[in-house]
Amino acid sequence: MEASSLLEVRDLEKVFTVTSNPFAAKKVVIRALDGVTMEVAEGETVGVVGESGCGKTTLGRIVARLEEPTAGEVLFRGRDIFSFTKEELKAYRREVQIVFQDPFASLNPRRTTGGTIEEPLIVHGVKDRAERRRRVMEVMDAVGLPRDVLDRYPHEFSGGQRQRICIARALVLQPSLIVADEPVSALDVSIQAQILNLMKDLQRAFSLAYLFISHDIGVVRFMSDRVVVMYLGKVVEAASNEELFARPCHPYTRLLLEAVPVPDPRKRKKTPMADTYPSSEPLPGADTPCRFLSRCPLRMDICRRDEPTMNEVTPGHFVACHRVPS
Amino acid sequence: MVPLLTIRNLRTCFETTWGTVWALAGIDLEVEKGETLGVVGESGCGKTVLALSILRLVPRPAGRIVAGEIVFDGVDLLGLDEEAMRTLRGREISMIFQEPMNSLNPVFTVGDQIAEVLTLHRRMGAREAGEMTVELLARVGIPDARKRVRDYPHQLSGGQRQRVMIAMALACRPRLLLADEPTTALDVTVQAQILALLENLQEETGTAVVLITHDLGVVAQTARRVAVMYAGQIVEEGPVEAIFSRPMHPYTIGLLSSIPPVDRLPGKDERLKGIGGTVPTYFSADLKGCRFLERCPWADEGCRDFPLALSPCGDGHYVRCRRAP
Repeated sequence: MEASSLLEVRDLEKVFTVTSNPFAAKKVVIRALDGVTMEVAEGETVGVVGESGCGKTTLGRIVARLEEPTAGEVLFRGRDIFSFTKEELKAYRREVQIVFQDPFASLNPRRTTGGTIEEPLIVHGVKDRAERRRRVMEVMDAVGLPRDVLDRYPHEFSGGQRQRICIARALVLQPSLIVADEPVSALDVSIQAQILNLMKDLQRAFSLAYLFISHDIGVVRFMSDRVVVMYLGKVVEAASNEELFARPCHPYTRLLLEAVPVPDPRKRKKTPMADTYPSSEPLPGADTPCRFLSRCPLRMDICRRDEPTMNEVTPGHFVACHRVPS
Repeated sequence: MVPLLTIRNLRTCFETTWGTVWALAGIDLEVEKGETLGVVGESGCGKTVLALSILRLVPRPAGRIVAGEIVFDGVDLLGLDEEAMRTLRGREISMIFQEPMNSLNPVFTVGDQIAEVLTLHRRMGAREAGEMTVELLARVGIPDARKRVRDYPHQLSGGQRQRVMIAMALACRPRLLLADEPTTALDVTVQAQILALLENLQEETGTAVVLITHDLGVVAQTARRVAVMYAGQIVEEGPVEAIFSRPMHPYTIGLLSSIPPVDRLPGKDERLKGIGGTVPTYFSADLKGCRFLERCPWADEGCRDFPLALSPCGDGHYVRCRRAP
């Protein structure tokens, strides 16, 4: 394990109990996270990729302390974030910020750009008004917002500009980790490129670490140093960016990469890999030892009996699959 | 060969608080029998309005088709009365939408909704329509179709709802299918299944597909020809290989350079070239020059004043730019 680990997530579990419809007495248990272990080093981008329901958003929300885990721990600079005192928690909130997917829903419509970006400074006790003003201007410059937008309201901006405001708000307290939950999914592709470039520039300028959550493999590959692939609450594969795409091992990772439409008509895929996904089941395989069992083209008898454990196939490349020899 | 659909100088506008917005500012387009035409562009470029205009479903009174011709199989759709359009919709031309949950009726079973198409357009009796419905659902890859016909939309997953929409849209073997972002709301592995399904069904029925999407990857994988839209106009059109390997319009070039590379390892400090600025939302009706002007790296004064036509640049490739090489 690296010495400079900023964030460590260990055996994280989160169970939601829901009723399937408002009149049903029967409760359904959803294991959003089922023993997730991962880490983020100082100044590093870790991409978390997976499809809807894999638990990637829940992971981000727990790291940002917007949600309590059912079991497991999250260590920030070696200390458990769920045993913090009030003061320590406040310090943690300065260090870790979050940017959400929908910039239309995550800004207060009645607050100006300046007010939105300034609020964290007020909350965290920067008393001097001139100092606050200076820092707001500083981050606005950094994210490329012109100064004349200071007194304007969210509805006056496009999605891309709004996401810049959200990033500025996250940045103003000089955090060391930003949880970015699908930060570009709601944006058009030309605007998406601008925001991704911006996030890379900011990372270099402020030595930020990102927990970069996305369903878009291309975006994750562009941004990340390391990539974690999740499926139904489990990490199925984790490796460096280069290694994961060069040698994907888990059948789910392969299926995912295979399914990405390549923007090049010369590389047209004929038919997608055989996929027996019974899409009628909301959570196929949530109760089987291997979560991917029902869709897996390589399943064996052992997959029905034993849960696969994380194996290190090459240094730094982890896979949870019986088919992949350690 | 006479094209299945020919659109000439189609202009659709919307009256808004800020004035008249030209959602379509003169569209010329042809769709051949059985082909797949990809229409790409970002939000607000008019790609959905194009599909709605073809079906004459532009929301009124705010929107209206002002000028142009939409000739489908020799008949100008803009000259038809509402009754004639109703028999055409769903039988000759059908549409599938982005969010299947919003396009299915939540209080009827999916079986009833598919059967309705068959009784209305193909004059089938209830029993025959019921049998056919089961067959259609099985055909679009829904397991246990005989049971599933009794399900309500909320009981199905997103991918299955989209399969139901496809079954409904293809129930009458239409000659033209307008697919508006059919896989955008779906997970990538489900997207791959749905695109493959569409392709198979298309080969079987010979239906022409207009695939509207913002996703250049999807277009590259499915379309034979591509039209790139920007601010209510087609700025470039051509065979899919030409658009991707020799893009001519600065907007197309910018779009392609905005996508993160998926087939190689990007450098740590690599940046996406992308396009600066944002899409302007409002144009005056008398605008002559180029609509991409403000964001264009090549623009000069001349681009402001000259009316721009979609000009041929070889091999069925057309571009609307006076500076294109």
